[in-house]
Amino acid sequence: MSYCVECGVELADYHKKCPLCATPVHNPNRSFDFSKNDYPIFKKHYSTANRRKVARRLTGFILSMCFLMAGLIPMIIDLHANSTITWAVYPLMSVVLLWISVALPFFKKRPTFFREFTISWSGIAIFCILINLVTLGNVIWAKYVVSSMALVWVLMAGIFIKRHIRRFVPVLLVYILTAVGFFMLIASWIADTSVILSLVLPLEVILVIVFFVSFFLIRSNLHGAINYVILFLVDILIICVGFDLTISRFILGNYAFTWSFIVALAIVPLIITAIIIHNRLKVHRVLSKKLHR
Amino acid sequence: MKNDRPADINWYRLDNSAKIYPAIISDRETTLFRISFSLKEEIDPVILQKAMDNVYDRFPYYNVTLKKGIFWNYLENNNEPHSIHCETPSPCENINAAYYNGYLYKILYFKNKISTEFSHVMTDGHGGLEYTKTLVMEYLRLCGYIIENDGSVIEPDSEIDPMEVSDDHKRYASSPDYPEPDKNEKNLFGDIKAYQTKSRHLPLGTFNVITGILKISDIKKISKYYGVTITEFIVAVYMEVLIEIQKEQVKKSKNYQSVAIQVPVNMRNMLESCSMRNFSLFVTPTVNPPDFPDFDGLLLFIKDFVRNNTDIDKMMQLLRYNVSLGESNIVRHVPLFLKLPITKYIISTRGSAQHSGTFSNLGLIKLPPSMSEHIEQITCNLAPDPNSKATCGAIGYSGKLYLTFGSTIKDTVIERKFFRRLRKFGMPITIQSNC
Repeated sequence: MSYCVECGVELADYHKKCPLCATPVHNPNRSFDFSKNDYPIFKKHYSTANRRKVARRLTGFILSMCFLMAGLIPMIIDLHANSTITWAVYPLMSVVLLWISVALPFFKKRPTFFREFTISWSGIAIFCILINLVTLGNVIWAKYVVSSMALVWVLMAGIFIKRHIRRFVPVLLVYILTAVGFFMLIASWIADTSVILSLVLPLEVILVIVFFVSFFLIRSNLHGAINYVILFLVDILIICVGFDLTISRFILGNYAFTWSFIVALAIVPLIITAIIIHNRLKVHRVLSKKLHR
Repeated sequence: MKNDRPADINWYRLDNSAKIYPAIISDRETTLFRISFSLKEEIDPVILQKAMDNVYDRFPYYNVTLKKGIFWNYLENNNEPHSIHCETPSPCENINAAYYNGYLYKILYFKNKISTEFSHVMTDGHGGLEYTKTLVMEYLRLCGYIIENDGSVIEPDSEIDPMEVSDDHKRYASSPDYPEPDKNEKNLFGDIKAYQTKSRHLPLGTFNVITGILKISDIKKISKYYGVTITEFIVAVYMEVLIEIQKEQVKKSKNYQSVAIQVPVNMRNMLESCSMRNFSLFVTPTVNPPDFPDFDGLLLFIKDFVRNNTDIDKMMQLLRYNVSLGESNIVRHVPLFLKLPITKYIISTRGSAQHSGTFSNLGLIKLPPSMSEHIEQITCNLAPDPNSKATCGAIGYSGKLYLTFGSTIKDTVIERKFFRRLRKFGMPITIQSNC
């Protein structure tokens, strides 16, 4: 028998470390006797988690097969009709993009939101570059899209990177540097400075402020899936309204709600529902008090 | 395997406290509890199967499967063959209906250990323990040992008392000997939201089990010193640990929540009953952490609370209140497809949210001397609770107390603090675990 030096408890013969505090057992006079185990050793094929993993992989495989068919059929038709691949390259690229975004996460051992977001985001960026290259032979519009996506990715990274490396000042610095870098990049591509000052700069400021506030909220005291959903919806709403006002100011010459009104109509009920779900216990108490029979 | 069954009783109503369980059964909250007997020699699965077949007909009310009616679930006789299985690493895994032919209990073996896992839909710890004792006695007899039963174990060929299937909740609720529930008292369940440990869950279907073995004489000595029972002492330590964890996890004292431990009370100790179905009620000592800065005050409160709330009049009020909920006209006439989600919602918001942990003491197990000489240890695992994260079951046997924590979280903070606290009282503890 050995003892845990931290907990002061005696441990059964088969324990290599203390089950309470994970302190390794150091006893040179003792040999571990695993034949005396009181429980079977974990075998992954037993667990429900493993069954779920198999089901996930099967789903990924079925989706991959569907995408493969969706990619092959246009190619065969194109080959049959034109004896070469012409237009079929577009559906093929779309299918590859969808496979990366939808099917690939099912093969991951532990898919996380940020990792999947990064892969999908990269897929979309490559897709845009390829489309631009195939159609025009250059990256005349794709560079704007890709640089904007890179900006959003950096802003998202500030929120989703691991907690122990997420520090307030470095993230703030990265946000500012990225925003300035993006601004200078766009400025170097567009000759007309009025567009930059009246459109690009305000849009960028809105994005950075929204992400900065979200980062601050998540870092300070915001926890739980529903809170994240509420924050995400509020962010979308603010970005849409801000973009709408800025663009209408640029095009029409005055601030006006145009398309963002419809977005707000869709998002506000969702936010209210999420808040009610979040506070269901309180709502339940109030309702049971007011409506009891 | 057994499949030739008497079919004189076809189905059973769920007993009053079992009605809620079908609504909450899931891979995470399986409602299964385990009782394990470790013998002094390796288990022979062929003999164990034979022993199970021999005791099969003595407990017909457990050879059932859960079915859906229009208004309530019910238990229907199961004519499928039932067989023993090798133990899996995680105790109390959800019963795969196809694998176990719809039965709501499992007989498992591993090395020198025979375990039974019962769904709370059928019975409570008392029923499960009685079945397991009979099974182990029959197994030992088939191994060639002579076991002289002194009446503490049910014989496999004894007569079945019709009262064993009685729903004693209902039987005693209609008894005129006890006071009616106080209708002015708004809600016997209370209306608090208790603190629940925050930690990441283990993968679905896996549970950590840590058993601490200590001498009953040691814990009895300490309890006697404080003038409390062993149960009250353990509940106080458990509660102190949860208060401490809350202080670590919740930074601002204004956000502290009450800490409540659910303690099942076996009603058979108070009322005459030989029911082998659920017949337990819960008392829930609840404390507001700032009111109890020291252990002595906490212990005194729990002692008073448990003693004031477990007298027969209070328990009968609670029993009648529980029965009246299930018997009300509205509840009875709501179809099951509506009842189940509503029950699930109410339990998640009011039932599970109102306790921080569960502690159940099955008491001191007495076996015939000729049987106990073959049995090394007995342990019990309570049904895993994903809300309060960890539950604690205690069982006393052969001068030792087996305290088993079953937990659905990776972090063993509750068990660590609990056993370290007991060590501080000077009690030597041996730890066994599956993690």
